[in-house]
Amino acid sequence: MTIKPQLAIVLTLFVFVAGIFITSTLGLYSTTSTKTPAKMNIEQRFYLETHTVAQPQD
Amino acid sequence: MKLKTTKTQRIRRITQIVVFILVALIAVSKTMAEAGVVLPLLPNASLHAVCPFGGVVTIYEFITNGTFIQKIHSSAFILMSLGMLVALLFGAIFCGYLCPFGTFQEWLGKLGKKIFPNRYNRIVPPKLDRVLRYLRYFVLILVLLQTARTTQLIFQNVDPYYALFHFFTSEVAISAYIVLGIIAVSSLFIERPWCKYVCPYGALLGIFNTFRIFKIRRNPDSCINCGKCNTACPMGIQVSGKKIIRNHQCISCYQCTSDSACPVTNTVTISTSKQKEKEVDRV
Repeated sequence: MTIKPQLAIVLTLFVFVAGIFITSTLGLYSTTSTKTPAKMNIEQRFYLETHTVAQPQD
Repeated sequence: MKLKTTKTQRIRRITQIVVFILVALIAVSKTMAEAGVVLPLLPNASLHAVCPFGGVVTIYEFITNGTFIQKIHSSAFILMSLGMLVALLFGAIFCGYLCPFGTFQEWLGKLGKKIFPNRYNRIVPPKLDRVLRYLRYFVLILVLLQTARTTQLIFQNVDPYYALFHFFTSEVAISAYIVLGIIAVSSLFIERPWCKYVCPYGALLGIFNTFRIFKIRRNPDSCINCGKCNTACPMGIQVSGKKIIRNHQCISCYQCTSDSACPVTNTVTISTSKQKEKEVDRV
């Protein structure tokens, strides 16, 4: 099957523009969707270990 | 050899301008939203949110922890998936039509052609050029490994695309400005230097060129070997020497398929499989 370049361009443009506006509508640009990585480096882990207050045991 | 502008080229130019303006507006809109002035155009969107490469660098984090690295949004992940779907069909068409940084280099290239007509695209020796074109795979691997190791968006520190659209903010690292400057100057002498030698996203999309569904094909029986398609290709691919263009550097701009680049109709086409021999209309 042979296609014209214009079809490829229009399809590509449609997919990307639709993608941008759909993700916008769904609120996927919101900063709340950015999650802090689960991994911690040594300094972060050390900070948490040394600054965490022990919880009272039942 | 100057080629006349065709319909495809006109559509390409308009598309490039529109996308460039859209991305610039998103960058300005985001900066103004942070300053308290909300514009109606995608006020929450940042450049990271609409850049499909953001999705690529967070793949490892997503697979191992189910999260994204900092500053990357799920929208980037979705756009990356759409980008790969389109690349499966048409190859690296994102680079040829949508990437605003590619457009920026092309505009500088047009200026360079006028200022340095004798030096343009003749600075890098062909042997070195062939080797340097694989450098972007090294950059891709390096970026993916470093991002996975640090879980930070380290590419932003050297990203000229980010520097270009955020030059007016304090978020851009000095190193990114330096890279932007080097690429801007290089673009005056070399066509799309970032795309050819460095771009990690272009490297990834280029892999799709080997197995994309709609391939650029040249019919050797009707080809008159005029070499106009080679001249038209912004990435310097020797189209006239191949039957099927699987080159990882092809950006699917389709310049080689236009009437101005190929005077014989149905000789360089975009198709799924080899067409049966057709009677060729010579113009």
